[in-house]
Amino acid sequence: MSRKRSDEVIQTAEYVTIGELVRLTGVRYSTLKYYTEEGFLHFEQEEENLTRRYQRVQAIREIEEMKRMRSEGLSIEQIRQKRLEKKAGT
Amino acid sequence: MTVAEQYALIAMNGVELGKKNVLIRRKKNCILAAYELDEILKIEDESEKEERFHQRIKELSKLSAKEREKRVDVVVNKLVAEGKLEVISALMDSDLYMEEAGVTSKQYRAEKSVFLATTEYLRAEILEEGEISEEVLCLTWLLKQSDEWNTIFSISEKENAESRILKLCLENSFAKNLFMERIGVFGADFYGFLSYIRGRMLYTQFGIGLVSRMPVLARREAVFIATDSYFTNAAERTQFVKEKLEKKGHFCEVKQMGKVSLLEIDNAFYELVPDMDHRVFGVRLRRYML
Repeated sequence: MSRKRSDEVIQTAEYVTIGELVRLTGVRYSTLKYYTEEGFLHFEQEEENLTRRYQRVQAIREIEEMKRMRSEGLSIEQIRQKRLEKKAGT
Repeated sequence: MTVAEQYALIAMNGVELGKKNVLIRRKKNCILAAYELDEILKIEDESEKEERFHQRIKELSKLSAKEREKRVDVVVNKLVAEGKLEVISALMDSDLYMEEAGVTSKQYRAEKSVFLATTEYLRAEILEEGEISEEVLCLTWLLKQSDEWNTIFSISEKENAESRILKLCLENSFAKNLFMERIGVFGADFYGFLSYIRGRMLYTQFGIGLVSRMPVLARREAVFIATDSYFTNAAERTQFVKEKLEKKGHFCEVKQMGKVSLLEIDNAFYELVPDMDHRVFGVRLRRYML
């Protein structure tokens, strides 16, 4: 068992856990879990104990993007559609 | 934040200032234990850690009531000074009877973003696959001791969480020793014991249902808010109650609108059940468990 990583450490870490993302963004765990399962939030899986880890900068950017679209009144379905269109366009 | 501060933030949220009962005494004993755990976690050697833990917990029971209060105040006052714990008008003040009697009281409320970050981090670490930190393990044990555990996890999540803790106890001797220890209420008499059982029941679905039928059993858990008129429209009724509570300084957010709306009031969830008390129309606040 290890000690909890401090805020200073996670603010500069390359990879963070979902719990640490909660601390960094203030978004509920259940929301982040949902975004992960729906593919809105990218992660890497460590082979050893199957822990999901997130690339901090990219994950925060994706969460901010989701927050912005939700505040604009878009539904999850509309966001999914928009992302698909964006992907097809590139 | 230390384990003691994190635990105090969760446990003191919604607690009325100056109110004394067995459940609050237990919470305060847990704050004392958390304070000791912060010191114990600094020890590197595992066997010494376990030994010191049992020794310090035993020593706590020998402390005088005055000394215990003093130590708890240090933790709570620090949170208040940092703005992580606020002192607001008690929710009970909005109750029809309290309003008419002109009785006022104060309660603690945890700052929303800090409360969310603390509880959601705990949820994430317990429910996700991967390592559980020592701090989260200690916080889990403390929350289980004082029943706050039931307000953080839903019934289905609790099953998953329990099995993870059990697995951890089988693998780690500090975890095993921690969960074998119980925080008691020192010097509780028979009445205190009954009061404790009653308090614990309020954290169960059965208890919540019973109190909403018979508010006299626990008035603080069945606050009745009078509305000016009989609202047939649920949205108008909810809006009226929300505005009334906000005027008194409570943080309110409508989570679900309906015949029985769901509101988050000061970091806790309540259902607004339309009710009538002595021919006065209003709503009864029923605690909502996840």
